[in-house]
Amino acid sequence: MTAGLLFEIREFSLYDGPGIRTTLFLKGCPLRCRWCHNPEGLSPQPEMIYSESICSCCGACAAVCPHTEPGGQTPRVCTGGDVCGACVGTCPTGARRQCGFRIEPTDAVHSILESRALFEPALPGDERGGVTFSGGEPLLQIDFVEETARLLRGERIHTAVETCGYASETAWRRLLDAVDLVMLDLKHPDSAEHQKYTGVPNEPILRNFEILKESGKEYIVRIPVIPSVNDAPDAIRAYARLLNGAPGLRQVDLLPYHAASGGKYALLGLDPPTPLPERPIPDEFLNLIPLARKIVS
Amino acid sequence: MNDRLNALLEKTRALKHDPDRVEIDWSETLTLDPNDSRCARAARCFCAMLAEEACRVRILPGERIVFTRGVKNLPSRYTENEMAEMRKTAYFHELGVVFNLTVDYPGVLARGLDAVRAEALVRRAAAEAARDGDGVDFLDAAISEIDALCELAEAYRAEALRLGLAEIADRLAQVPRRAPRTFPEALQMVRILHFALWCEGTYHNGVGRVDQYLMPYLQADLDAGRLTEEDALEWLTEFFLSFNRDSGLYVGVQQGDNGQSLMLGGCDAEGRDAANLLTRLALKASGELKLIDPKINLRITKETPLDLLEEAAQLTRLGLGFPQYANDDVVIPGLVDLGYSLEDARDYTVAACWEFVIPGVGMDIPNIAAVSFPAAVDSVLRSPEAKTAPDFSAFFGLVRKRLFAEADRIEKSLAKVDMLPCPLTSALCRGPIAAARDLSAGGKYNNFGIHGTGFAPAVDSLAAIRKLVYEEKSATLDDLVSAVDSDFAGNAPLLAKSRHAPKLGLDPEPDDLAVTLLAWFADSWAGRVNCRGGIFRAGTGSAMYYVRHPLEIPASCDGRLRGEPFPANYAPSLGVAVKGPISVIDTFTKPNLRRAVNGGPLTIELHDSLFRSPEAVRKTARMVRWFAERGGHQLQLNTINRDTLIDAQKHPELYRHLIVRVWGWSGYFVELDAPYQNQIIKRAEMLL
Repeated sequence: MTAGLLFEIREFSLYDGPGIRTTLFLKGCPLRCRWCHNPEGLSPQPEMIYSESICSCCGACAAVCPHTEPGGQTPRVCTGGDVCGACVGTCPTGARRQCGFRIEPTDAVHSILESRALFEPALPGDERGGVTFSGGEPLLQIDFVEETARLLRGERIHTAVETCGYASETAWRRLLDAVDLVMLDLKHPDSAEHQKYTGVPNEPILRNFEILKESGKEYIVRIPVIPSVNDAPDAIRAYARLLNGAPGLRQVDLLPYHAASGGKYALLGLDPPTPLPERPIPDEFLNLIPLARKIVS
Repeated sequence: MNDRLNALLEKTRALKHDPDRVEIDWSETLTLDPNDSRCARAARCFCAMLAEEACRVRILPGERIVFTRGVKNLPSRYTENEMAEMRKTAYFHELGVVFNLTVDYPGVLARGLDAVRAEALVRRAAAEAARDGDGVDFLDAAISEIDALCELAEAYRAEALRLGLAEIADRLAQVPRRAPRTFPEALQMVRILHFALWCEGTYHNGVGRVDQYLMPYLQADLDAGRLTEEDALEWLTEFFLSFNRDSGLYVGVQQGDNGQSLMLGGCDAEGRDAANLLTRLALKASGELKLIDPKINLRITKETPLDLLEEAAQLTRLGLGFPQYANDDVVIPGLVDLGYSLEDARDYTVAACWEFVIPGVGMDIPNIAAVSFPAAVDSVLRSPEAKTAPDFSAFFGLVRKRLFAEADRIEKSLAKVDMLPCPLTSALCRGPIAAARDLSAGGKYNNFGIHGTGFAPAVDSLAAIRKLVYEEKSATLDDLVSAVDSDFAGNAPLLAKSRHAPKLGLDPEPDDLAVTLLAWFADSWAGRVNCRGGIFRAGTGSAMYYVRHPLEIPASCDGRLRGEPFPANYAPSLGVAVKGPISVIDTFTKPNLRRAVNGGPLTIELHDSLFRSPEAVRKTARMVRWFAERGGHQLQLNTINRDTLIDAQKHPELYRHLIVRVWGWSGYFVELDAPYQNQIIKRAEMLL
């Protein structure tokens, strides 16, 4: 079984790699970045999304829920261990939705093929689009990614991955073999700080970065520039030491931080992170890292 | 835009609340003769209107293209009682006059009004000799209206001279009586003619293929060194601005629904790509103005150069709700199938919103009636025949029967269609003078267009019925009838099942139903001859019926509750969380749209954040061309943001200029009535 657990297939995706793409968002992530915008990508299990504002409190969900005592309250969030999804089909208002669905690589590829005409470059100078694996962290489901990418390669469809790079060397090498373009996030150059803000050290990531540099593959490095976390001069200099002269590096994308991202947390029954004060990306990034460019998002 | 145009833009916006514009009590100034013929009465009213305008000529500071309304209201040709009497004898559509067409701008520009008048005089003599009283009557009316218009132009010329505006006066010495010699004269002449149409009471006045008929004038000026491209853009921008001077006075279901549409691009009479410099300048001018008028349409094919589509997508990025795209690959053969000559079909434009018509010759009534698809499904659902239908295909067959019965009913209700003449409008078209008959007596094409409303909710209802009643057998037809009649009250389980049934644009299951339903709709109108000798054309447009038709049925089997609107035109049902524009285009181009060329665009909303980087424009252009490759007939893209719309409802004063696509035209959001605002917000919800 190589079925993947996804939380979205987004078509006409314009900001996840070159050209027009379809992005597969895979569920589950080993990091817990304090600024995460996709909390539905964190858990490696299906979850319930519950919109209190449109719930009519009819109780239909409680009536079918195996985790609720007869006559019990409508559960706000799924209290069971595994989300069974029994309540979703009974909800008349759409207040209860399941976040996360399993899909086989062949079915995923099939649903992507309708967009393939748009992946082709319209003119010779245009970039070819394709499919991007994102998340969550695609490396956690390397079997699915590998198989899906293999099928896509058979269809001559370009593949890319957006990854945090936190994985075993084996998984990482399989990923590099499977996809055409790697977009690697480097959240912090210092391991202790990385641990502090994402929950994991960065040594495995930097090791995988070395493998990437030696692979001869083209790649993009992305830096989420987080106020007071990784935008101080020291950090920028450390980034420059890591990146300048790295073989195969195509560009360095600087992603701005947006405080307004808390809405999704509530739907999942999670506490939103404390927002940080927004501020512009320091120009020093551009001065010290020649391949860097600011991304509007 | 330069300072002059910016100042003019502000002045034009201020005209909406212009204190100098008067409302006239026509009962005091105009006496109508009960013995007047219809044409004579039209002429009497028009001449009275223009005489009042001549007393109020005004030229705004900085303006170079003149003619601005000084009078708010037209005289009524008939009292309400008289109109009611006439409506007893025949069906008069909407206001009852000739409307929804585009006059023969290229032909009239080529000749000038003197030549049109001379032709009318010659024809009048022949009519008189032949004792053709009706002919003389029409031609007399047309001639007197042309004279009144030329007199008004003369009054403007005198005012220009008085103000020392020699160039304006010089242009008015040439047009409208003689053919324009330059691009500025041509623009001034189109302005005058367009102005006159509204004063005659004809409405939803399209402007046609401006890039085609104005290009020879521009080319001559460029060749002679009289104008640069930059000058041309400035002239064109001011010309476009002039469509916003009087638009607050125009009739429409909602503010902004005025049909001031123009068509760009497309092919010439031989079928060759005819997009030109003016096509691009027009897109640019519209993008600089960011106003709702004129509404831009662009003809495309699967071979349209991507850079032209990119220039068009720039307007989408700006959130103007246009251009609306029409696909020549589908529309032209579709019109030929309906009996239009190939040459005419190649010259098509849109009437007001999206109805494909032929400029200069058509007297089609492309919006004469509308069929509600969900009402057809609803009536089958509760019919005795449905109870004995052994399977879904038998049930679905009853929907076909129902569509034919509805076509019978509508055809019968249109057994006698009458309309009031517009002699000047007619004289500006090809044919009426030669025939010595007003267009109201018939044009080259006299076809009736039938909208189809609620296509997606009907397909979704059918998909739900197929699944719940015939496949799962988890509900009966009676269950569904009582559920929709009670608005699903106390029946949450069935509501949940209805809503979780497959939806068009999201799930593949309903696609076959959509293909068949649209084909049956076209079949139900094929071969019928209307009372004016034309045929019937089926379309995918909804006009304003997407708000009205839902009120004629209770809830529906797709889980739509009572009173909730349908999607506008041809689009997924509201509340369906589609994956994105690609699967929507993929699904909605499966039906044979060549058979739906009364028009009605696939309507797709895009979140404005999509355009945060310039490369999105090129990618959107690519998607538009893919739509053409897929065989779509018409497409409109609406760039919106739900948060902005909700804030605009709370603070309208901060959002006066916020533009949205409504049903076939762009309007200012804050000027729309609440049901139309709310429907657009619902459309935007799916983009979160």
